[in-house]
Amino acid sequence: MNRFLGKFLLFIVTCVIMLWTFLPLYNMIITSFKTWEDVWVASYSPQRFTIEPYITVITQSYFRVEKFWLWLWNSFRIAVEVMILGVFIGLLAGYAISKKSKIYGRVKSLVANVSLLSYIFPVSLLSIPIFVLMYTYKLLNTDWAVSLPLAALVSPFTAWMAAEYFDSIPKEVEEAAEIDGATAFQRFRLILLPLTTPAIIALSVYSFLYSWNNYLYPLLMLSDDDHFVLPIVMGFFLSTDDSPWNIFMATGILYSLPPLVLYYMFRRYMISGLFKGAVKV
Amino acid sequence: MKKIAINFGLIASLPIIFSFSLFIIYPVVNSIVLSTSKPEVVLELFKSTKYWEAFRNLLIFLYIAVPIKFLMALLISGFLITYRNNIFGKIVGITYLLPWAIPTVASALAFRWSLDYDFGLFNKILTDLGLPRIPFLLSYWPAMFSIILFHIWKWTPMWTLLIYAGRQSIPEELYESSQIDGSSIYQRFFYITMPLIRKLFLICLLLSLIWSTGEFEAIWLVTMAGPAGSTHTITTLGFQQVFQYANLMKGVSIYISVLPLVSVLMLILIVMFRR
Repeated sequence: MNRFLGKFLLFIVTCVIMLWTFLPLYNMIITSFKTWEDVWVASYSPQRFTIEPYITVITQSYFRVEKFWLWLWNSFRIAVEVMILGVFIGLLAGYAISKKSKIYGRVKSLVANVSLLSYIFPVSLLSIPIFVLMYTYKLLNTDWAVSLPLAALVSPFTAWMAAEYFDSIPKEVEEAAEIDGATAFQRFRLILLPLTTPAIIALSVYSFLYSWNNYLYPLLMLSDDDHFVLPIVMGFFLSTDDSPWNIFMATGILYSLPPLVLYYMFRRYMISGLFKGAVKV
Repeated sequence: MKKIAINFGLIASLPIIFSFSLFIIYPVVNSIVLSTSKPEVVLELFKSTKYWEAFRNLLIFLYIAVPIKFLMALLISGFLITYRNNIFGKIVGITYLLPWAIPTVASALAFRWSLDYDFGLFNKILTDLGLPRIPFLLSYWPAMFSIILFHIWKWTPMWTLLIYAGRQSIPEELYESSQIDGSSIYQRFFYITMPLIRKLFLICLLLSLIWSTGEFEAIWLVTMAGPAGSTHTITTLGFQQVFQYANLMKGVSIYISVLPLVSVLMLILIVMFRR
């Protein structure tokens, strides 16, 4: 009896939590299909179903989304820059941490600790000094002001993920090439890298999304509306009085679609190698 | 031959050392130098009620949000384990990650609109159930509650994913044999699951404490530190000092003031990770 009661309680509690998880998202979806007048009446489904808000966003015919495609392109471009840098730094550092590289133990543990420390550091506490740094070097309102710090902040995670992959490659693969006289760099480029293709894809997705979803750093670094990324603009929606919430919600949904798809394709890679040791019982 | 091998490993570690020095070490050192160069600013800060209010809000936020997040992560991961061969388990397993996958700003939009006093869905449900409306964003405690609600909503999935991964690696036989001996679901949780995932659980808890201390989006996007600046925490107060009052020195000092606390937590965490 007791056994079933426990299971049943767990079921009920989880259902309530899941319901609460869906509620805001459900509200977001129904609001995005409402007409402007219907937004001002709370309801459980759109009174008059319309896709007009989406058309308004796509055709940029409302002034708060007047440069939708440009801002989307900015988000995309910065995310790609973060992706390239994050994967580059991550792969190299991951190689240095992994058992494959032959460097002094002290240097190796230094690199490992450096990545760990920057992974756990609360990133928002670094934002003001980094802003000052970018201001000093006159990089504000350029892509670099956002993509360089974000790449630096994402690289510890990618480094641990890469290290885990390098460790999983059997060392015999490399040994044959070593006997034939290949240098460490040749072995890295010609043997290890092709074998880590799945890891490289996962690292790219993670870095891309890290930048795509970030709000604080673009908000600090970009102040000119030709350089805005979409999250900043959506942040501004929140402080307006005349609020066409159906258009705002449509923008939010359009912006959320790429990360949703990517997360679901790659969700098993989203736990870093960092936790692998702790996860094992 | 050997020499080249050593060199490439070293070269490979250069980019991360460089980015670490430029974007972690330099900002921290620079902040410390900046805030200690004018001690009177820091002293003035420690005397202002605004600062201590923000500090109190941060503690309230941490003490409520972190335990609830982990309680919920344990519950959902428990559900996923218990019902894993079941259609309900599969549905929850696919959908519980949604809040984590959606960009924070987009979900903040959804929350802000759902929490609206007159037109929000939450108040609509409350009135339909015959309960009074809650002014979610219009007075202090409901606003703090909304911030915590959003933070929990956003971050529970990630910790659930990690704890679920830990629980999946517990051998099935342990549960089976205890079940034959007639254990209850609670006994299995407290005497098998918890001791085995203890290390992972503590690491996640500490990490969550550290990251929640730096939480900015939940406060800035949900309440914008309002009403009347009453729900500021350290991060938003520092941000506001710099970008609305152009007071760089004060903003940096505010951020640096939580560093001693955070560093202690980080030290413990690093020791735990490296073992």
